[in-house]
Amino acid sequence: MLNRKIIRDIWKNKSQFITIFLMVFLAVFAFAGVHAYMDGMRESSRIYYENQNLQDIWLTSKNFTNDKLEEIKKIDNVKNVERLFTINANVINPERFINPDTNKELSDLVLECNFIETNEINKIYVMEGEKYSKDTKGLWLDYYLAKKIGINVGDELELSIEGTNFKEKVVGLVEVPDHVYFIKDDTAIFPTHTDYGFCYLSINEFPKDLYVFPYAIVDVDNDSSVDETRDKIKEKVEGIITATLRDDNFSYEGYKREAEEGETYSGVFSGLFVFIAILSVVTTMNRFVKKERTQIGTLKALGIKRNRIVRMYVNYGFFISVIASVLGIILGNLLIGKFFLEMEMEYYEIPSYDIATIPLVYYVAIGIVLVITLVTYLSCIRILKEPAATALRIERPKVKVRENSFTTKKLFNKLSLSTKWNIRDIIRSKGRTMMAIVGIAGCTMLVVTAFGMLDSMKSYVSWEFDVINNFKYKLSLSSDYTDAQYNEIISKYGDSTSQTMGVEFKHNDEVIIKPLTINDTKGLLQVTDHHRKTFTMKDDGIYITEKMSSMYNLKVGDMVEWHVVGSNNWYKTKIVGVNRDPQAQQFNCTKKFFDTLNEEYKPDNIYTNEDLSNIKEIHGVNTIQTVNNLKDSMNSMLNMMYSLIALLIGVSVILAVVIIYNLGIMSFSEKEYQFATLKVLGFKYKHIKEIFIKQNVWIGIFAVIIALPLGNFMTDYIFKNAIGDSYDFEAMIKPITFIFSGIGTFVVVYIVNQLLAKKIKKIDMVSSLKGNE
Amino acid sequence: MKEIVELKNVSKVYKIGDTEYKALDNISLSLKEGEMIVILGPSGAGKSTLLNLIGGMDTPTNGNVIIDGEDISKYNENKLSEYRAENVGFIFQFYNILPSLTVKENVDLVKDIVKNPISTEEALKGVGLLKHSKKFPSQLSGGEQQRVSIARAIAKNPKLLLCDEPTGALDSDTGVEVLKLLRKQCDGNNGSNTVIIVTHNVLIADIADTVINVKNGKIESVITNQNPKKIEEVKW
Repeated sequence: MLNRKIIRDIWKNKSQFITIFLMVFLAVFAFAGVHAYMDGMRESSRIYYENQNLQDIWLTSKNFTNDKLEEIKKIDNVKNVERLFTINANVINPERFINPDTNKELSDLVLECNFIETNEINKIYVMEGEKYSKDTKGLWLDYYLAKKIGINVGDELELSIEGTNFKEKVVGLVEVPDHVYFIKDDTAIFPTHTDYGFCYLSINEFPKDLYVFPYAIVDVDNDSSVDETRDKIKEKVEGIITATLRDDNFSYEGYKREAEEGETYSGVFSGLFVFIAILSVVTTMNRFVKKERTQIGTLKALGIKRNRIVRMYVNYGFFISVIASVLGIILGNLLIGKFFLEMEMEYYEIPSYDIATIPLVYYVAIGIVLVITLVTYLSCIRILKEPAATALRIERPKVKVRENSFTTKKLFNKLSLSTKWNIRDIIRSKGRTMMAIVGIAGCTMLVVTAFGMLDSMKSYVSWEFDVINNFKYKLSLSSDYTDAQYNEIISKYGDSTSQTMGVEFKHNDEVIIKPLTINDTKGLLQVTDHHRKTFTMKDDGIYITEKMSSMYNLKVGDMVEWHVVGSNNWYKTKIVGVNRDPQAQQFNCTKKFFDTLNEEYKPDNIYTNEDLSNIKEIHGVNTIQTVNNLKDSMNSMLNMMYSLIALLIGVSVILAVVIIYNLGIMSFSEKEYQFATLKVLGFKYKHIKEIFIKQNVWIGIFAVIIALPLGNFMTDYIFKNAIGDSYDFEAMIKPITFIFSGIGTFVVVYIVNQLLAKKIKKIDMVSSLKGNE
Repeated sequence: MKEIVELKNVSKVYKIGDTEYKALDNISLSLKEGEMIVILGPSGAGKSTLLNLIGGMDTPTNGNVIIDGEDISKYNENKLSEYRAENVGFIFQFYNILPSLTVKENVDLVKDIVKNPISTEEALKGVGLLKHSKKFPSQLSGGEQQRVSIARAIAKNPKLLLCDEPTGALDSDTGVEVLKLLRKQCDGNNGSNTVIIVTHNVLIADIADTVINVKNGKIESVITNQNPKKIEEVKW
């Protein structure tokens, strides 16, 4: 019989139960979905790295001889070491291939050729074709590039390395774990897989007689002591120029950063979704049970056992939240997870990937169900603890009219009835009011934060490309340009140059590697201060970026001990200023200062405002990029983030509408009896509607007012704390965003309440009052 | 005395699913101003429906409900609200006062919708609750709560006071006190106020000027009581 009551109650309160379902569903849907793709990214790469044995240490030296390899192998914890020679090769007749993005013939196709011996570390994953063997002729080509421009196994490519041409047959299409995130150079920002790729060949295929192995990769037994192993290699093996770990690897770090960046901000969001939804649902369940007070009293009076009554009420919240959570996990995985993972993986080269559900997602879903069940249980127990006779009566309000209360003052009595009514109601139902404020404010904050992130990202792009990059073209010089080529370039396009190099500096007991940019760009590559205003660097020391300054507690006036990677000249230099850069945390200095050191300045970039739109190739230049292309590339990379933010905005808005509707419907159902009484007394529809809407409008306005700064705070928090160490920008939310978010929420509050107010007309005075009896 | 309430061929049919339920079946009735009228009948007879139609809380399926010369059955929702506000005071078996408002605030409510209300203090004094004006309904006994409901009704200074089982939830002594207050209202305003009480308690009929018996949705009899009993003499 009680089961029938459950079904009828759910039907009677269907709007409320549907909103409870939607709140739990949306929260779990967003949480599980975002996690599915973030964790999918992480888990797919973990499996890939493990199966293909990604190297633990990268080494560079002038040449890794067999003796040197043996020396490295003898070091504790070193399991294996392999050497390789990497060099860029131009593909002859690149116009054979069509760039599918532009539908034009390729003018340039460069392959990073990796000549290897054995392949036990960083194992090649063959997608199509033969397995790698040192004795096999041919090349194993980048699968993504091959698929994009239409190269198949069996095709022949003619390559040119430093003027030596040679032909190789494609024997396999492959992916390699240290080439997951692979771009032409650091100006390319995101992979296009069109005019640049990689390939692997046996060292036997090297077209010249003389070669060296400047690179080696190391596999260790115990990952936890990889730091010590790296240090030992540097210490014991002579001639090691650099020894870096996975976190310093461009591909590994780039991929990891992408997964972590999204994880942090979407983690904050989905955490907030869960928090706000739980808050709203437990409040709703608590209020629902309170509304059922006299029925609980009646059941108790009838002698139905306490456990049975509790079970019945707990079941409402339990089953709805279980169904919503299960659906949320399934659909979150299938819709959000799959969609975003597919989108993300367009850029990254991993042979097989899939969404993943980590235990945390299940714990959160179970937690939501448990919290809702517990709150319902406690609400019910609270009523059942009272004697049946007391529980049969409407709960006595826990309020007292104090002599000095505002509601007893003359001024109060001069207010309109609806104002008086609502002030009293707010004062006497503080908990309910507070929950309504928290619910609406939470949703508005989410909307402000989501839009604010969008604004802030755009502001960051504008800072980088409209302020700092004050040039039209950037020429990335090839590493082997000649003096003649250089002189010709600067005579034509000006001598605004820069060089970025790796430097190691001492910090406490550690040696940390960071970039140093020597800026001789004559204002074409600007430096900015804390407020994003440009300034001119002085020539008497080095500058440090603001974020790096706070990370290493280095201030203006402090001395830094450093050296250029590969050079043994250590310098002690004074930090003469702090600049702020949104995407590169490093040292900067002028050429004039750098010239005072015993180092050679060899520019790697030239900046110009000359018109190069008709220039396709410049000798000694690797790439010619316009600032607009750079900006477009950045925006393309950010498109993924924009899509995710769009999802967060969508869920925030839907959750906001559901919560506001739920608050409205709860408020209405609790007051229905009072409205029926007012109707009987002769209050007109417009009076009652005014009473109903006014309070929710007040709460809406108040919630919006507190939510706007909270949204700003949250956005700021995300950008300051959640994004990677290389980024440094804060919330920059446009006033219009605040206005739209605030007005938007208010309009939703108003419309929802206007719609609900129509129910006042439908209140049947007789049955409402009788129902209450 | 003029006729204050006139019902002409009034029917009220409720539809529950496919079944029709006739609560009132073509009844006609006239009630005089200044009288205390008791409508008697068993449960389900149609007494409350009759009261609700007179009070403008419900509209008839057929027929006319004429109050003080105005046919309220033709009124729209808004006009009915005005009619209830200006002309009718309601008292219910379970009081229907608002639990989140104090006694004074419950009575104060009506001041905003009525043109000539009597003061809250006067209304509360009239029912003997002035000293409890700052209490909440839950702090009062059943009888006291019913008195709040009466104070709220009489504060409107209504022509018609409609009471649905006003003593139904009260003991005999408290019920008598409530009836005294209703009689006092009836006698007030130079005897022009009309009080209609719906009850199934036949003993209350003895104090009425007119007793209407309702059964199965029809008026069975209308009896004029030449010598109504004093309220103090009633006991149940």
